Amino acid sequence: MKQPNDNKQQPGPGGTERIERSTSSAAASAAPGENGSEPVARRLATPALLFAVLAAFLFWSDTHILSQGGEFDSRVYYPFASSNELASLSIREPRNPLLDKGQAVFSMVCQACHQVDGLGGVPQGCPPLAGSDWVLRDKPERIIAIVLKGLTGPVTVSGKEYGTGAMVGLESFSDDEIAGVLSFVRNNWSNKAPLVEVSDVKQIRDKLKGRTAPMTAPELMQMFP
Amino acid sequence: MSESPSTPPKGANDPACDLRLPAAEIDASLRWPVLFLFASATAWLLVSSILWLVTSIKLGAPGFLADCPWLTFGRVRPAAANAFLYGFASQAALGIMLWMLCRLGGNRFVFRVPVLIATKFWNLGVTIGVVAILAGASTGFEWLEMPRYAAVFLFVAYLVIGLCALATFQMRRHCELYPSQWFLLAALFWFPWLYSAANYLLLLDPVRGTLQAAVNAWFTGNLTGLWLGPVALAGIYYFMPRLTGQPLYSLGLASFAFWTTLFLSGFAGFTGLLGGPVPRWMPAVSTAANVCLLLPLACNAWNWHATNRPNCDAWKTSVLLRFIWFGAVCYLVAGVANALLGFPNVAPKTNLTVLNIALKVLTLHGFVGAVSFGCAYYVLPRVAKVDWAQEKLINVHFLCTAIGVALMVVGFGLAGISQASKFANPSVPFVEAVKSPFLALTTIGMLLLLLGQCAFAVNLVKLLRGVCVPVCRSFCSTVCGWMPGAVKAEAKPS
Amino acid sequence: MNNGAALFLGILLSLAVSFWTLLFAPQLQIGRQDVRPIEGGEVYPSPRPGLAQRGAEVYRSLGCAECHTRQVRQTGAIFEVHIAEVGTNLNAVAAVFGESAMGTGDEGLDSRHFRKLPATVGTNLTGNAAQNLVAQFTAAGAKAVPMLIPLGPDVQRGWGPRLSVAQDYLHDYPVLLGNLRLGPDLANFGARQTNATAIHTQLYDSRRMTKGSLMPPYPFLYETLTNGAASPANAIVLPLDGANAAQVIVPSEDAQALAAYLISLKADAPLFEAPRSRPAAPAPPPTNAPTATNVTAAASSPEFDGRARRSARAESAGDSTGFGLAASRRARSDAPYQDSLPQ
Repeated sequence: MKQPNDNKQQPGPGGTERIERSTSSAAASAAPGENGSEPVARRLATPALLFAVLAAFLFWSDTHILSQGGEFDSRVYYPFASSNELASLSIREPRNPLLDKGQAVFSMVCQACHQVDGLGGVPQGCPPLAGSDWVLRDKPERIIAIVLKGLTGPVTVSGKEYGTGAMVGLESFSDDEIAGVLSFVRNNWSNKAPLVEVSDVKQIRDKLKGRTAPMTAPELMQMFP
Repeated sequence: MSESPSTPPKGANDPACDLRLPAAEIDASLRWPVLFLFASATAWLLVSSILWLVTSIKLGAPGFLADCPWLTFGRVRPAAANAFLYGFASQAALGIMLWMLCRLGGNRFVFRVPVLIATKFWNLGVTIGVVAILAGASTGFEWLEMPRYAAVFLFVAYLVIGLCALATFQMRRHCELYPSQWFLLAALFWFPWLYSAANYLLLLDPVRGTLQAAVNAWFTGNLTGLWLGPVALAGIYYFMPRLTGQPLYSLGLASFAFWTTLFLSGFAGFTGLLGGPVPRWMPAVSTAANVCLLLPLACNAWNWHATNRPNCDAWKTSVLLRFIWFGAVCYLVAGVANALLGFPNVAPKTNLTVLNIALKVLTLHGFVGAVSFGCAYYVLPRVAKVDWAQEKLINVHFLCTAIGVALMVVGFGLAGISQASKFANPSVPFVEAVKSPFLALTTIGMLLLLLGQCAFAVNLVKLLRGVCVPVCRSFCSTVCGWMPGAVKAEAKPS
Repeated sequence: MNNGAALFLGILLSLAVSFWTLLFAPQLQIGRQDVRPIEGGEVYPSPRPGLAQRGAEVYRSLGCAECHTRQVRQTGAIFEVHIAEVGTNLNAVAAVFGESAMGTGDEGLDSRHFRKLPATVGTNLTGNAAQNLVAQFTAAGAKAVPMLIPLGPDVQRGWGPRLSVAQDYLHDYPVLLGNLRLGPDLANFGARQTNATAIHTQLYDSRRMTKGSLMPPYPFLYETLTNGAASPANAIVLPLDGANAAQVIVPSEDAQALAAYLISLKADAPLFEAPRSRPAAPAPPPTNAPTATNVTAAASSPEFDGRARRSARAESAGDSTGFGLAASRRARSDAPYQDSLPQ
């Protein structure tokens, strides 16, 4: 049923008459009278089919989220599918447990002075370990001795002089702990040098048995040329 | 369930329920708030369009106006967006909301003064915000770039206007609720929550890391989905039956569409982060929500189409209906596009291209803008009791809007598709991958839009003059009546 | 549905559901992340030095995030197995290689495969397959290393060695991920460009560095010196560029801060949620001053080289990332990076 189109004149309170009389663009309402002219809706119920379709959509959403949602794991970012996939991508080169032990000792004992970046603390006189020529020497005897007995007095490392402070020795630590921390120091940051063996540490420990005073740099250079 | 023959709605015949005041009385009570809201909205619309035009030109000629730090691309673009969203779209939405709640409820609007003052504060807030963005104080969050001190103005102003709207709704005389009122209430409650939660979690007590991006995405998705969108849907639901003279086809369909839109839209909005640094379950939820939103989309389309069917040629004669239909079509296309572009094999490639600008233009200019204009063209002459001066300009406005939006969407869309395919190919140098000849189309489209908006502004200025001049004259003559020499003033023809 | 109160309750429920699922639940998941230590003893992410933090403010204020994203994306990851050292028994290694997917079975051909090290002996492998292959080669006496190769155009353009994740942004406020790419991604800008002079030239007028660039010039960040004026230490001489004459510009504080910020942008530490092969030489710890001429060690990581060589060949036609990739390409060829600007 087609309603008559819009150009009807509507009697109404003054002012609207002019509007209603004007072109169809502005006055496009054809309902009779002003009071009943607000839009009305036919009271049709929602078709039940829609609920079924909604259920289907929600079911699809469920499967989509389960397959694409990364198991709601906060560590899973697109494009990875699950934390299992991440775990399979995290294979590591087998790391020597000596280095792990050494890292633990380092962070507990040495980090305070030699700093986490291995660059040392110049105000306290701690020489750096990263890039240090003393650390990177082929033969680790000098640094084993330093770690066992401590160091006092000035020392020249990589061209710079350090040593207004003194380093305390770690004699109470076990051989593998000392081998570990030295191996770690020789292979961390930019350092790359052969590992320190437990037997080397034992050998130096036996050699310096009985000594209580810390080492000094000239002494070390003389004992272990 | 089979359709029962259409029964006359209860409200029309039930005397206890249909106590609506005469429409002219309602319109008269709303005159100044609605006029003020739409006038300031139009001013901000022109500001934002000019700023957008500047960014559009800069895309092709990066050296354009590059010497001035206030007009650098990275500041003009958010300024344009904020001016559009909070200056134009929100104020138009508030105007439509107040008018429609009063008309459908059948009661007069009694909160003129608070709303006028609040609108002033809203405009002050937007001004401070836009100027702050251009000066470099942008917060960095999409569509929330206005700094805290500007957002406070907006929030307080909204509280006042929102409470007035709520009170007006509570004071309704017609007890039966029409679908538009449901949508308007949803928007009324969602905006303050949205705005305050986003501002709190991003500006006042910022969350950490990419959760900020997640909150931002939640905000932008819901600003269009649950603030501007429902008001525009309310407009379409009101004017489709009104302008065709037919009853709305089905209340049940509208009800279903309302509840599904309300609940599902809150989950959409994260598809822009698909592929990005948020845990992937969040974009997955949004993809699903966007697809499910196709269902209320279909319901709305069915309802509107069936409402128009008995009077299917009405749009040919009524330019207002053409605005409303254009908005409806843009809403439908945007909904389908959002659903399709949300899938995980598409979104990571496209959501960083200008394709998402195409979607935003479609939603903001095409859907929200066109429906707002359609409503404005109907509402303003009735509240002002002054007719539109130039009918032809309304047609010009419609054509410019339709063609302008189409050009911008096609331009950004094709450019976006080209960008997506070139970004995916690492052997294409990036500077070449970004460029596209279709971007020039968007500048032309923006110019057309601006032209249409100027046509609207011309009509609006004439309408306002038609309203204000008699008021000023009567005010002056009242004032002059108290002064000696009043006889001379009264003798002048008014 | 005429009951206003029922409507209100329904709306409130929709608010609550949306908030709790999409804001509160993520807050519990990623909102309480903190810096965490990674291999090498550093914490990740490391806080930005002061000037770079100021630069972040400049970045936000200028709206750089409108065109530049700061999120690297990835489309997948595969394993490759590289042989770093062949060891003493080339024949055994060649035999193992011959039986693998890449091998030919011809002893001579397979042995020649190991002439240039590191050699790739397996590609497109899953984690388990890679580990098996590594075990086989290790048993034959070679030093085999499994390498995780990320896939995706972002990675191949050199924008980053792995995807960006939430942990990367813990020190950022606001988090400027960006949602439009009109310019290259900047998440790892500091890993491919540390030359402040080049950065300033790009900011002043990007067309001098990249032809056809869409990036607007920012002349207001710089002071142009007239001929004969005394030039301070950080003045930059811009090269002649056809239409533009040579100029001397002095970066303002904002420009310097922005350059420092850009140089500090790095998101490449391996994480559980963003795995990458451990670089051979860990990157040096960040320093306070923006470096002008040094090349970062990250650019010389071996797992990057394979991709870099492939992508360098692919991009021989043009400079795909603007000026950044050209600079890092030069760095990877191990020549010390000169101040000369890439053409």
